[in-house]
Amino acid sequence: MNADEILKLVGLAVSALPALVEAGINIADRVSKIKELADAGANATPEQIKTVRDQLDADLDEFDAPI
Amino acid sequence: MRKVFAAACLALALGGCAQLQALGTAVKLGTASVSNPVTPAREAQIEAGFDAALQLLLAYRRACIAGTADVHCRDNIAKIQPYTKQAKVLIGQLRHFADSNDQVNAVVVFNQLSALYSDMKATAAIAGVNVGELP
Repeated sequence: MNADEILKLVGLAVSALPALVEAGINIADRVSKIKELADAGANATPEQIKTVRDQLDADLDEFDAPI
Repeated sequence: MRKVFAAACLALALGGCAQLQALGTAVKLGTASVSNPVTPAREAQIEAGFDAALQLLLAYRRACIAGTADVHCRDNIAKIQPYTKQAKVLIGQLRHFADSNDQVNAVVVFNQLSALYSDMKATAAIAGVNVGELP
């Protein structure tokens, strides 16, 4: 692999970073919600449950949209 | 590009992996059964775990639209979408059965969703996206 190809790959990797960083932030947020629900146990509020459900619906709709 | 994306995912995973491991250890959902019921709170935990995995697929889709993913990304996403569309149907059913405390059907749908996730994970892995395990 020559230097141009390496630089091209590095450029592509860097351009993909914002989406990956955003994914990392979002994963952390979802993990936080799981912990909240686990801590709440059977006492999880309807609002907490609705928030999780609404978020998954929105994310599934985005992923399932025609591409 | 797929390798680049996978490598970047790996780099991300070094930070995100700890989160995913925390996800795995924070909540052990185990196997659903009538004696281990799918309550609305537990169902929400399942959904949050699914949503965490979905974030990597969304990142892949967004990178694809931005033109920074591999040249096969549209085909790859089209191959994964039948699983996510089916998952939405099953999740809707799981919500209904959990809310109405219909544990027999909730367990059936829980197991269908688990199997579907395994299939989706395998298809995503072919595309170079490791969505990890459900908690």
